[in-house]
Amino acid sequence: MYDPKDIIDLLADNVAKTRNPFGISKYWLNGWWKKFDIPRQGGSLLFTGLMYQFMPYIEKTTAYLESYEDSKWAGYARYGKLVPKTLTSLGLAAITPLDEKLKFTNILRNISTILTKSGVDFHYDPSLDDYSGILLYDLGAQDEFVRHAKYVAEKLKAKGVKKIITVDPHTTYALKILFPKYTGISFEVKTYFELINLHSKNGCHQVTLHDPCFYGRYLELSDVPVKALGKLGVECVPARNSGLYTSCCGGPAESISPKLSAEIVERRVAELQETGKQIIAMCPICLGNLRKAGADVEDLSSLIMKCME
Amino acid sequence: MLLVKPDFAEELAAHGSDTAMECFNCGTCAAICPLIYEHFPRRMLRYIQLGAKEKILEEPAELWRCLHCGLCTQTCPRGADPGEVILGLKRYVTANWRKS
Amino acid sequence: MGDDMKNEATGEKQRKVGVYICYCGGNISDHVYVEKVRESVEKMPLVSVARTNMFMCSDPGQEMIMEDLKSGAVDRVVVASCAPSLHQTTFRNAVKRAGFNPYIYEHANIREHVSWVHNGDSATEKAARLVSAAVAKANLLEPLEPIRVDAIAHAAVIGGGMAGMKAATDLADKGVKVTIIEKSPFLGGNVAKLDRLAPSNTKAADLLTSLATNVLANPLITVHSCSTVQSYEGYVGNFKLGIKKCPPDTGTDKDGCSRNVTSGMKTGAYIPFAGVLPDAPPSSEENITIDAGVIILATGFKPYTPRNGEYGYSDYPEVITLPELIQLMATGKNSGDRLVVNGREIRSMAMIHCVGSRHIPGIHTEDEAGNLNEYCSRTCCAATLNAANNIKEAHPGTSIYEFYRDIRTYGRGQEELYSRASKNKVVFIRFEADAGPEVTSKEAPGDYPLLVRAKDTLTFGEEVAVPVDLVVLATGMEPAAISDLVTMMKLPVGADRFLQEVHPKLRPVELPKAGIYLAGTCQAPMDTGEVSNAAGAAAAKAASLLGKGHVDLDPFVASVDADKCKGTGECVKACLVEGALGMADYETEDGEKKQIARVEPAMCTGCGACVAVCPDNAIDISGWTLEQYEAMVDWIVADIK
Repeated sequence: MYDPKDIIDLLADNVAKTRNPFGISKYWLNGWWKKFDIPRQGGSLLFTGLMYQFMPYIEKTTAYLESYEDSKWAGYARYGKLVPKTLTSLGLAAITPLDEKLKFTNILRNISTILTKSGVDFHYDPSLDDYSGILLYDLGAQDEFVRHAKYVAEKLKAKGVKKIITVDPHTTYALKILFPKYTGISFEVKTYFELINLHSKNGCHQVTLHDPCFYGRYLELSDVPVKALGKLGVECVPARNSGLYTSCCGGPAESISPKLSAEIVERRVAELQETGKQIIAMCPICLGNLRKAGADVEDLSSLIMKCME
Repeated sequence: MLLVKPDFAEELAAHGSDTAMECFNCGTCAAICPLIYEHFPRRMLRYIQLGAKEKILEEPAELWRCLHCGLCTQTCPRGADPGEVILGLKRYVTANWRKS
Repeated sequence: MGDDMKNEATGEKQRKVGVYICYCGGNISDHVYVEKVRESVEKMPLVSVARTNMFMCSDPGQEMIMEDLKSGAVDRVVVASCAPSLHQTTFRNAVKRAGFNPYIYEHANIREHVSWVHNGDSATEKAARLVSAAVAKANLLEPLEPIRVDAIAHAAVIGGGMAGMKAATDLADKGVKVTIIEKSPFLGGNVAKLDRLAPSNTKAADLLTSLATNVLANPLITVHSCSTVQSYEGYVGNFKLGIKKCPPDTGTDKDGCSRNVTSGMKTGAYIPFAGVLPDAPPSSEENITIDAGVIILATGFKPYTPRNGEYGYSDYPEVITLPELIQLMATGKNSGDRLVVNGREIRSMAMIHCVGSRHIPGIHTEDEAGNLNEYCSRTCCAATLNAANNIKEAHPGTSIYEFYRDIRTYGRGQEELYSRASKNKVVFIRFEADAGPEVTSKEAPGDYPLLVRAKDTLTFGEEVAVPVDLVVLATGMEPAAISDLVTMMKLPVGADRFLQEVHPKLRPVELPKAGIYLAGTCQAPMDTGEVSNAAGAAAAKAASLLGKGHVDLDPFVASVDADKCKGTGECVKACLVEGALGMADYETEDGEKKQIARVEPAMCTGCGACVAVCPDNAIDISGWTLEQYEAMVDWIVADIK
C-alpha cells in the first residue's frame, strides 16, 4: 500500500499545474476527435471529462505501481518528482503503445456515432472538455477539488453551456451532483445512453451488464441501458449483485493499493462470469480493471455499434 | 484507555460529515464492505461517536483503502451514511496534513 | 339435570360412558395411534360408545357428543384431548346444552401429558391407560350443583395510584360502588413523583389530575386516605376489611408524601411531586369496616434505592437517580445551551441503565434480605431515553452518554425514542453485566468531578472513559412493602416478590382466591399505559362478577357424611384455609346430639387435606372422591392390551 498523502500530493499538484492528474498535456491526451466527423456546433455539449483518454496511462501507471507495492522502492513514491518523471507527462505518453490509445479512441468515436444516429442535437468542443476533478474528491483533497471544479464549471458557464452529455459515471456524478453542491453552478446533465433512440433486431443475444457504483447506486440509472439494449434486441441477464447492490470493480483503489484492487476485481469477475454471458462495462475504470483481471469485457458503446451493423 | 472527547463530532462536521452519531453499531456496513477489514467502516464511525481522534489518526492511511463504492451507505438501516463519513474523514485527515 | 331420571326410566344401574378421542389435527395423532386407543377402551364393559374426531372441540365434534347424550346412548362423558384448562369448560357446556348436568363429564389429557412428551408404542399405551382411568372415574360421577353465594355490590380498591384510580373509575362507570383505601394523604402514587411520561411525553400532572377529578366527582366512589388495611376475612362476594385511618406523620415520613401536607392545603388540586389531596387528612385515629364483594389490589411498587456506593451513589453528590433528576429538572428549569443541575452547568453526563434490575446471581450481590432483582423493570429504558431527549432538545450543549446492557424499548412509540436519541447525538456505550461501569473521581480530567469507565462492547471491548459533571442512575422498580397484606390475605407471591396471577396469559389479573384481582405494578413492573390496561381488566372482571348479584363456585369442595363423622376434629386441624372447616352441633334422626365437622363451601378450596386425615372416611371432596381415585388407579395399573 502506498501512502495516500504522497499520491494525493502528486495528483493534486498535477491537477493544479496541468488541469489533469497525470500531468499529460491535453494535446497528447485528447485526440480522438481529430480526423473524425463530429458536429462542432449544436445543442448539448458532449463532455468526456477525459476519463476514457486517461485509461492507457492509468493502466501503465498501475502496472508500474503494482510492481513496486510493498517493496523497498515503494517509499520512493514519496519523492513524487522522481517516480512521476517516468509515470507522468511526456515520459508516460511515450511508453504507452499507440494501439492501446486507439482502443479508447474508438469508444469515444462510437459514442459520438450512436448519438448522431439517435438524432441527438449535440456538438463537441475540445477546448471545453476538461477533467472533472473527481479523483481529488474521492481521495478527500476537498479544497483542491473545489478549486478545480470551479475552474471547469465557470469556463463552461462563461461559454453559455447549459446541457451536457457525459460518457462515464465518475464525470456524470461530478457534474450532476458535486458541481451544483460545491461550485453553485448547475447544468442539465445526461449520460449518452439516456439519449439513445435506436431500434434493431440484430442484437438477438444475451449479455450481463456490470453496473458501476456511480450508475447503480449514486445515480440509480441501471435500468436505462437495459431498456435501450432491449430495443436493440439484446437481453440483459443480471449479475448476482447489480443495480443498487452492484459490487465494486475495485478500480478506485488502484492508485493506493493495486493489490487490494486486484483482490476485489477477482471477486467481481467471478460474480459476473456466473451468468456465462458476454460482460458489458460502461465505465472506463471498470472496463480496464475487469479486463486486467482476465475477463472478456466489452464497452457498452461497442455492443450498441455491433447491434446496428 | 480511550478518553471520550465530546466535541470531535462537531469538528468533523466542518468537513461535511455529520451522520456518524446516527449509527447504532449493527455492523451491517462492515459485513457488506468489500474490504472485509477489521470492522471497517463501523470502527471509524464508532471512534467518531466517542471522539476517539487519536484512534482514527493512529493509521490514517487505512482510510484510503475505502473504494467509496457506497454499498455501506446503501445498506445502512439508520441513514448513518458510512461511505460519506469515511470520505469526510479523508478530508479531515487531508486538511490536517495541509495544516502541518 | 335429568340423567338420573332417565336411568330410572330405563331401569339401568350401570352407567353408559361415552368416550370421545381427539386427533387434535395431528397434534395427538402424530404420536398416539388414536384408533388403537379407541379400540382398547371400547372393550371396557363401562363404555357404551367410543368415537374419534379430527377436532373434538369443533362444532361437529361437540354435536356428536350432544347427539349421543340426547339419544340416550350415553349418560357419562369422557373427552380425551388437550389440557383441561383449554377445553374442559367447552365440553362441560356441550353436556349442559344437551340437557345434562355438566359435572357428569371427565377429561383426559392425552396431548400435553402424552403426545407432546412421548412417542412410539408407549405413547399409545399411556393414552389408553389415561382414558380408561377417566372412564372408571366417569362411571362414578354424580351430578353436582355449583355453590351459589350472594355478592355484595361493592368493590374495595387497595391503593390510590394510577391503577387504583383507573380501576375505581371503571367500576363506578358500570354502576358499582367503590371504596379506595390509600395509605398516604394523596392520590397519585409513584406517578405523582414524575414529570413527563414516556413514550408520549404526557404530563403526569395532567394524567393524575383528570383521573383524580373523576374519582372525587363520582358519588359512587369513596376515598379513605391515610388508611391502611388492618384485618381481612371472608370469601368472594362477602369480604370484610378492617381499616385504620391515622393522621399523617409529617415529621418522619420517608417517602415525602406526608411531609408535603401543609395546613390549609386545597383539596382536589394537583400538588407537584405529591399528588392530589382527596380530603383533609384526619386529625385523630379512626377505625372503619368495609364489606365488599370484590377486592382489587393496586398497591404499586417501590422505586429502587441504590445501595451505598453503587455507581458512586451517596459517595459523590453528582450521582443521582433518574427520579431525582426528573424532579430537579422540573423544579429548577433553565433555558441555557447546557442543562443546569443544582446550580452546576452540565457539560457532559452519564446515564447508567439497569440499576437495581436484571441482577445475575453470582455477579450481583444480594440485599440485606438476600434478594436479587433478576427481572427487567421495563420502564427505565424508555424513561431514560425520554429524559435524554428532553435534555438534548432543550440543552444541545450537554453531551449525554448512556451506559447500557440492552436497550429494551419494547412498546409502541418507544423505539422512536431510541431513534430520536441517536438523532439527538446521544452516545450509547454497551457494557456486559459482569463488567459494569465504574464511577470514580480519580483521574477525571480538567475540572470534571467524575470519570465513568467501562469496557465497551461496541468498541471491540476497549475501555472507554467519559469525563462527566453528572451521573444519573436509571433505577428500576421493586415490590412495594406489603408483606403485612401478603400474610393477612395469603396472597401468592412470585420468585420476583411481586404478586402472582393465576396464569400469565389466560388469567392475567386474577388470583387463585376468587374475587381478588390485581391491578398495576403490584404484579410486575409496567408503564402507565400497561397499568391502565391491567386496571381496566381487573375492573371488568370485578364488575362482571358483581353484575349477577351472586357467584357460582365450582362444587369441588369437601362434604361431610354426618352419619360417619365422629367429631374427632382432625379435619379442622388439617384445614389450610381459615374458616373453611369448623365443628357444629348435629342431631341425628334418632335424636342423638353430637358435634360434627361443618364445611363453609365458599371458603373451601377442595384441597383434600381433610380427607387424608379423617380416621373414619367421613369427609370427601365432591367430584374427586376417594372411591373415584381408587377406580382410576385400578385402571391405570390394570393389564390392558
